[in-house]
Amino acid sequence: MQMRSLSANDVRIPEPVPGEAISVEKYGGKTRKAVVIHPSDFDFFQRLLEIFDQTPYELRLTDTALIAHELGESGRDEQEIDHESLGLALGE
Amino acid sequence: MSAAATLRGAIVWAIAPYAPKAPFRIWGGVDAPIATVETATELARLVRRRGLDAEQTFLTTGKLRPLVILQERPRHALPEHVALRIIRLEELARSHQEAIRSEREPSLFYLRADKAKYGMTKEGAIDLNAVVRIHESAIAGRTIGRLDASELRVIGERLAEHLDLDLTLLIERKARDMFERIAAIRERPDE
Repeated sequence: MQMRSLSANDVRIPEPVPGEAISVEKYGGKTRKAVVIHPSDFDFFQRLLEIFDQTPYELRLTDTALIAHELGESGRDEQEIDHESLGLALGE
Repeated sequence: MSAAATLRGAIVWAIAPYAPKAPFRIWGGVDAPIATVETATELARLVRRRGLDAEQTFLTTGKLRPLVILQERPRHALPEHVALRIIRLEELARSHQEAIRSEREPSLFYLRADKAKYGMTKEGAIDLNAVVRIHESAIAGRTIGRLDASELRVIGERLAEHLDLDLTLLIERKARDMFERIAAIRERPDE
Protein backbone atom coordinates (compact mmCIF):
# COMPACT_ATOMS: atom_id res chain seq x y z
CA MET A 1 0.00 0.00 0.00
CA GLN A 2 1.37 3.42 -0.94
CA MET A 3 1.65 5.96 1.88
CA ARG A 4 0.98 9.70 1.65
CA SER A 5 1.73 11.87 4.66
CA LEU A 6 -0.11 14.95 5.83
CA SER A 7 0.76 17.29 8.65
CA ALA A 8 -1.61 16.93 11.62
CA ASN A 9 -1.98 20.73 11.52
CA ASP A 10 -3.48 20.57 8.01
CA VAL A 11 -6.36 18.20 8.80
CA ARG A 12 -8.99 17.86 11.45
CA ILE A 13 -9.57 14.27 12.45
CA PRO A 14 -11.00 12.56 15.55
CA GLU A 15 -8.60 10.88 17.99
CA PRO A 16 -8.59 7.13 17.31
CA VAL A 17 -7.68 4.74 20.11
CA PRO A 18 -6.10 1.31 19.62
CA GLY A 19 -8.69 -1.28 18.65
CA GLU A 20 -11.18 1.25 17.32
CA ALA A 21 -11.96 2.19 13.71
CA ILE A 22 -13.82 5.46 13.09
CA SER A 23 -15.83 5.45 9.87
CA VAL A 24 -16.12 8.95 8.32
CA GLU A 25 -19.32 8.88 6.30
CA LYS A 26 -21.17 11.06 3.84
CA TYR A 27 -24.58 11.12 2.16
CA GLY A 28 -26.30 10.21 5.38
CA GLY A 29 -24.10 7.22 6.01
CA LYS A 30 -24.58 5.69 2.55
CA THR A 31 -20.92 6.09 1.59
CA ARG A 32 -17.71 5.92 3.55
CA LYS A 33 -15.19 8.67 2.85
CA ALA A 34 -12.44 7.36 5.12
CA VAL A 35 -11.76 5.07 8.04
CA VAL A 36 -9.52 6.39 10.79
CA ILE A 37 -7.53 3.94 12.90
CA HIS A 38 -4.78 4.21 15.46
CA PRO A 39 -1.21 3.95 14.02
CA SER A 40 -0.53 0.76 16.01
CA ASP A 41 -3.53 -0.91 14.35
CA PHE A 42 -2.34 0.32 10.96
CA ASP A 43 1.12 -1.19 11.61
CA PHE A 44 -0.57 -4.46 12.48
CA PHE A 45 -2.56 -4.44 9.22
CA GLN A 46 0.61 -3.67 7.28
CA ARG A 47 2.28 -6.71 8.83
CA LEU A 48 -0.71 -8.86 7.92
CA LEU A 49 -0.49 -7.58 4.36
CA GLU A 50 3.16 -8.59 4.18
CA ILE A 51 2.29 -12.05 5.44
CA PHE A 52 -0.69 -12.74 3.21
CA ASP A 53 0.04 -10.66 0.13
CA GLN A 54 3.27 -12.35 -0.97
CA THR A 55 3.52 -13.04 -4.64
CA PRO A 56 4.58 -16.68 -5.16
CA TYR A 57 8.13 -16.81 -6.52
CA GLU A 58 7.03 -19.16 -9.27
CA LEU A 59 5.37 -16.20 -11.00
CA ARG A 60 8.81 -14.58 -11.31
CA LEU A 61 10.61 -17.56 -12.85
CA THR A 62 12.16 -16.90 -16.25
CA ASP A 63 12.13 -19.19 -19.27
CA THR A 64 15.83 -19.88 -18.66
CA ALA A 65 15.13 -20.99 -15.09
CA LEU A 66 12.27 -23.26 -16.17
CA ILE A 67 14.18 -24.86 -19.07
CA ALA A 68 17.31 -25.39 -16.96
CA HIS A 69 15.25 -26.93 -14.17
CA GLU A 70 13.44 -29.28 -16.55
CA LEU A 71 16.76 -30.42 -18.03
CA GLY A 72 18.17 -31.06 -14.56
CA GLU A 73 15.06 -32.85 -13.32
CA SER A 74 15.23 -35.24 -16.27
CA GLY A 75 19.02 -35.68 -16.27
CA ARG A 76 19.36 -34.23 -19.77
CA ASP A 77 21.52 -31.25 -18.81
CA GLU A 78 24.84 -32.89 -19.71
CA GLN A 79 26.19 -34.90 -22.63
CA GLU A 80 28.64 -36.80 -20.48
CA ILE A 81 29.39 -36.70 -16.78
CA ASP A 82 32.49 -34.86 -15.60
CA HIS A 83 34.74 -37.90 -15.08
CA GLU A 84 37.66 -35.80 -13.87
CA SER A 85 35.47 -34.29 -11.16
CA LEU A 86 34.15 -37.70 -10.16
CA GLY A 87 37.74 -38.95 -9.97
CA LEU A 88 38.48 -36.13 -7.54
CA ALA A 89 35.68 -37.40 -5.25
CA LEU A 90 37.16 -40.89 -5.39
CA GLY A 91 40.69 -39.67 -4.70
CA GLU A 92 41.95 -40.83 -8.09
CA MET B 1 35.47 -27.25 13.41
CA SER B 2 37.77 -26.61 10.47
CA ALA B 3 36.37 -25.34 7.20
CA ALA B 4 37.46 -28.55 5.51
CA ALA B 5 35.41 -30.64 7.96
CA THR B 6 32.20 -28.68 7.54
CA LEU B 7 29.41 -29.89 5.32
CA ARG B 8 27.53 -26.63 4.81
CA GLY B 9 28.51 -25.32 1.40
CA ALA B 10 30.36 -28.52 0.46
CA ILE B 11 30.06 -29.70 -3.14
CA VAL B 12 29.79 -33.47 -3.35
CA TRP B 13 28.87 -36.18 -5.80
CA ALA B 14 25.75 -37.93 -4.56
CA ILE B 15 22.82 -40.02 -5.69
CA ALA B 16 20.06 -37.48 -6.19
CA PRO B 17 16.59 -38.90 -6.77
CA TYR B 18 14.07 -37.16 -8.99
CA ALA B 19 10.71 -36.34 -7.47
CA PRO B 20 8.53 -39.44 -7.90
CA LYS B 21 5.75 -38.82 -10.39
CA ALA B 22 2.87 -40.69 -11.98
CA PRO B 23 2.51 -43.35 -13.18
CA PHE B 24 3.98 -44.94 -10.06
CA ARG B 25 5.79 -48.25 -10.48
CA ILE B 26 5.79 -50.56 -7.48
CA TRP B 27 8.27 -53.37 -7.01
CA GLY B 28 6.60 -56.37 -5.41
CA GLY B 29 9.54 -58.74 -5.06
CA VAL B 30 11.80 -60.89 -7.24
CA ASP B 31 9.03 -63.12 -8.55
CA ALA B 32 6.27 -60.54 -8.79
CA PRO B 33 5.60 -58.33 -11.81
CA ILE B 34 6.12 -54.62 -11.38
CA ALA B 35 2.75 -53.05 -10.62
CA THR B 36 1.76 -49.70 -12.05
CA VAL B 37 -0.57 -47.29 -10.30
CA GLU B 38 -1.68 -44.42 -12.50
CA THR B 39 -2.25 -41.78 -9.84
CA ALA B 40 -1.55 -41.13 -6.17
CA THR B 41 -5.31 -40.97 -5.62
CA GLU B 42 -5.67 -44.46 -7.05
CA LEU B 43 -3.00 -45.71 -4.64
CA ALA B 44 -4.82 -43.98 -1.76
CA ARG B 45 -8.04 -45.79 -2.72
CA LEU B 46 -6.20 -49.12 -2.78
CA VAL B 47 -4.83 -48.42 0.68
CA ARG B 48 -8.19 -47.30 2.04
CA ARG B 49 -10.46 -49.88 0.44
CA ARG B 50 -8.33 -52.91 -0.24
CA GLY B 51 -5.91 -52.74 2.65
CA LEU B 52 -2.80 -52.17 0.54
CA ASP B 53 0.19 -51.23 2.70
CA ALA B 54 0.84 -47.50 2.44
CA GLU B 55 4.57 -48.20 2.33
CA GLN B 56 5.73 -49.65 -0.96
CA THR B 57 9.00 -49.93 -2.85
CA PHE B 58 8.54 -47.36 -5.57
CA LEU B 59 10.79 -47.56 -8.59
CA THR B 60 12.02 -44.04 -9.09
CA THR B 61 14.92 -42.63 -11.11
CA GLY B 62 17.92 -40.92 -9.59
CA LYS B 63 21.29 -39.79 -10.82
CA LEU B 64 24.82 -39.54 -9.50
CA ARG B 65 25.65 -35.87 -9.84
CA PRO B 66 27.23 -32.91 -8.02
CA LEU B 67 25.17 -31.21 -5.32
CA VAL B 68 25.83 -28.47 -2.82
CA ILE B 69 24.90 -29.30 0.78
CA LEU B 70 23.07 -26.55 2.67
CA GLN B 71 23.09 -27.73 6.28
CA GLU B 72 25.73 -28.41 8.91
CA ARG B 73 25.50 -31.62 10.92
CA PRO B 74 28.11 -31.29 13.71
CA ARG B 75 26.40 -33.89 15.94
CA HIS B 76 25.73 -36.33 13.10
CA ALA B 77 22.33 -36.75 14.73
CA LEU B 78 20.47 -36.34 11.45
CA PRO B 79 21.82 -38.40 8.56
CA GLU B 80 19.71 -36.66 5.92
CA HIS B 81 20.91 -33.47 4.26
CA VAL B 82 19.09 -30.80 2.32
CA ALA B 83 21.00 -29.98 -0.84
CA LEU B 84 20.64 -28.19 -4.16
CA ARG B 85 21.25 -29.79 -7.51
CA ILE B 86 24.04 -28.45 -9.70
CA ILE B 87 23.19 -28.52 -13.38
CA ARG B 88 25.44 -28.25 -16.41
CA LEU B 89 24.88 -25.54 -19.00
CA GLU B 90 25.94 -27.23 -22.23
CA GLU B 91 22.46 -28.36 -23.31
CA LEU B 92 20.96 -24.91 -22.90
CA ALA B 93 20.66 -22.46 -25.79
CA ARG B 94 23.53 -19.99 -26.03
CA SER B 95 21.31 -17.07 -24.93
CA HIS B 96 20.25 -18.93 -21.79
CA GLN B 97 23.86 -19.87 -21.01
CA GLU B 98 24.91 -16.25 -21.38
CA ALA B 99 22.12 -15.06 -19.07
CA ILE B 100 23.36 -17.46 -16.38
CA ARG B 101 27.04 -16.54 -16.83
CA SER B 102 26.26 -12.84 -16.56
CA GLU B 103 24.32 -13.51 -13.33
CA ARG B 104 20.98 -12.27 -14.68
CA GLU B 105 19.22 -15.43 -13.48
CA PRO B 106 18.50 -15.38 -9.71
CA SER B 107 17.30 -19.00 -9.87
CA LEU B 108 20.61 -20.25 -11.26
CA PHE B 109 23.77 -19.47 -9.27
CA TYR B 110 26.65 -19.64 -11.76
CA LEU B 111 29.70 -21.81 -11.02
CA ARG B 112 32.59 -21.36 -13.42
CA ALA B 113 34.75 -24.34 -14.37
CA ASP B 114 37.13 -24.10 -11.42
CA LYS B 115 38.49 -27.44 -10.28
CA ALA B 116 40.35 -25.96 -7.33
CA LYS B 117 37.32 -24.19 -5.87
CA TYR B 118 34.25 -26.08 -7.06
CA GLY B 119 35.83 -29.42 -7.99
CA MET B 120 34.35 -29.37 -11.48
CA THR B 121 36.06 -29.10 -14.85
CA LYS B 122 32.82 -28.05 -16.56
CA GLU B 123 30.86 -24.93 -15.77
CA GLY B 124 27.50 -25.33 -14.03
CA ALA B 125 24.82 -23.59 -12.02
CA ILE B 126 23.11 -24.28 -8.72
CA ASP B 127 19.39 -24.64 -9.39
CA LEU B 128 17.52 -22.83 -6.61
CA ASN B 129 14.36 -24.65 -7.68
CA ALA B 130 15.91 -28.08 -7.17
CA VAL B 131 15.98 -28.71 -3.44
CA VAL B 132 16.74 -32.37 -2.78
CA ARG B 133 17.04 -34.41 0.38
CA ILE B 134 19.84 -36.98 0.45
CA HIS B 135 21.02 -39.51 3.00
CA GLU B 136 24.66 -39.29 4.07
CA SER B 137 25.21 -42.77 2.67
CA ALA B 138 24.22 -41.42 -0.77
CA ILE B 139 27.32 -39.22 -0.88
CA ALA B 140 30.08 -40.66 -3.06
CA GLY B 141 33.67 -40.26 -1.90
CA ARG B 142 34.91 -37.00 -0.52
CA THR B 143 34.02 -33.33 -0.90
CA ILE B 144 35.21 -31.96 -4.25
CA GLY B 145 34.67 -28.25 -3.70
CA ARG B 146 33.14 -25.62 -1.50
CA LEU B 147 31.15 -22.41 -1.64
CA ASP B 148 32.52 -19.55 0.43
CA ALA B 149 30.55 -17.68 3.11
CA SER B 150 29.44 -14.84 0.84
CA GLU B 151 28.23 -17.26 -1.83
CA LEU B 152 26.27 -19.20 0.78
CA ARG B 153 24.74 -15.96 2.03
CA VAL B 154 23.49 -15.14 -1.46
CA ILE B 155 22.14 -18.67 -1.90
CA GLY B 156 20.37 -18.45 1.48
CA GLU B 157 18.68 -15.16 0.67
CA ARG B 158 17.56 -16.34 -2.76
CA LEU B 159 16.41 -19.70 -1.44
CA ALA B 160 14.13 -18.06 1.14
CA GLU B 161 12.46 -16.22 -1.74
CA HIS B 162 12.25 -19.27 -3.99
CA LEU B 163 10.62 -21.31 -1.22
CA ASP B 164 8.13 -18.49 -0.51
CA LEU B 165 9.27 -18.47 3.12
CA ASP B 166 7.81 -15.66 5.20
CA LEU B 167 10.72 -14.38 7.31
CA THR B 168 8.98 -11.22 8.53
CA LEU B 169 8.87 -12.19 12.19
CA LEU B 170 12.41 -13.60 12.14
CA ILE B 171 13.77 -10.39 10.61
CA GLU B 172 11.78 -8.28 13.07
CA ARG B 173 13.16 -10.29 16.00
CA LYS B 174 16.75 -10.12 14.73
CA ALA B 175 16.43 -6.37 14.15
CA ARG B 176 14.96 -5.87 17.63
CA ASP B 177 17.79 -7.92 19.20
CA MET B 178 20.35 -5.87 17.30
CA PHE B 179 18.83 -2.54 18.39
CA GLU B 180 18.69 -3.76 21.99
CA ARG B 181 22.39 -4.71 21.85
CA ILE B 182 23.27 -1.31 20.39
CA ALA B 183 21.21 0.41 23.10
CA ALA B 184 22.94 -1.64 25.80
CA ILE B 185 26.37 -0.69 24.43
CA ARG B 186 25.40 3.00 24.39
CA GLU B 187 24.27 2.81 28.02
CA ARG B 188 27.76 1.56 29.00
CA PRO B 189 30.02 3.96 27.10
CA ASP B 190 32.99 3.56 29.49
CA GLU B 191 33.21 -0.25 29.32
